[in-house]
Amino acid sequence: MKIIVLYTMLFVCSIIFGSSFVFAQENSSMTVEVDLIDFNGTSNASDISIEVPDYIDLGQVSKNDPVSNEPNLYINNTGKINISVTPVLKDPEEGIFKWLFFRTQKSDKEGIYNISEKIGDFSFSIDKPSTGNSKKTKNVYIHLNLTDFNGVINEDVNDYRSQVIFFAIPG
Amino acid sequence: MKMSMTIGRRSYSLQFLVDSKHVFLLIFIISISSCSALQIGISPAKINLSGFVGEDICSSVEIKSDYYGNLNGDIRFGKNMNIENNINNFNIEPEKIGIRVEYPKTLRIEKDTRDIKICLNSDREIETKGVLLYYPDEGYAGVGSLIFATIRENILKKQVITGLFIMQGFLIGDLLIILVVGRKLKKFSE
Repeated sequence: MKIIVLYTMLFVCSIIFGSSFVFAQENSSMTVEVDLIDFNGTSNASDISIEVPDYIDLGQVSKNDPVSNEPNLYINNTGKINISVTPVLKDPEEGIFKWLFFRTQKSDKEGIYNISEKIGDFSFSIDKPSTGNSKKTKNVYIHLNLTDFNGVINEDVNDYRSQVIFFAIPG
Repeated sequence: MKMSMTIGRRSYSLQFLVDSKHVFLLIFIISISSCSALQIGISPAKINLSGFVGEDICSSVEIKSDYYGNLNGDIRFGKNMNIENNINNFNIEPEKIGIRVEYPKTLRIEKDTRDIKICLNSDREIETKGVLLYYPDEGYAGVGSLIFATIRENILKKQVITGLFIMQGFLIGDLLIILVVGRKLKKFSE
């Protein structure tokens, strides 16, 4: 009885062992895949192209603490040439978000100071993506500073929103 | 017994996930996945529109976006050709400097590419730089091509017209002389 079980096990093992060779043989022509792009000199990218996040939350500001958080935005140059980027308020009459400030770095670096500039005065450049890359990213810090705000806010407002458009033109 | 131990370990693992910093990682991953970005592009980067006064000067432009909706178009000019490429320097409406512009002021885009036509026309000589801008109704990115507009008097056309007027003047003069001389000759012969 034991012999029968042993032979059965050997038979099953031999089938499994043998089938591994069969599968290896079947898989001997491994599929290799690669994307070949830009060989004819015509890339799909536009000359001027930009990618901007849809939403940014600046947290909370109050009369005693009129400066918001300063999150960073990742703006991508997805085009073919250097660009100049300028944030603009969609509604130029907007009273609160005209106190938006931007800077490209939080500390002094390489002779460039970390001064924030008000929306309307601020613009920055992003170099074209390096060869083989589809995008070049630049970090921009944004915050709201209502220290010099003279308007009246009668009651607490949650989720106050406005639209900022980042315009890219040739640099 | 073994079964209950496994459940216990599982619940311990979940407890570990909830209690530890992993929960922040989880929120971070969810935040990233819920964040979206808008991409928009325009070609060419520079549009040269050179021609003569009174003529339509046109060019083609390609707009591309992963946006689904309407794009708004706008054209503004700067004071001269030498201004810096900053959108805040382009704040003159075309009509104010005598330029008539035709282009789609709204454009429906459905995550695809659109070809549009822009045409300028002016009754006077102009040399200036401007931008053609497109931005979505509900979006946070806009793109612009620089426009280099050079509109000149068509001197050749002007000279031909002037020449024709002069020739016409000579012809009328000749006819008058012939008439006068003819009458004199007629009188003399009588």
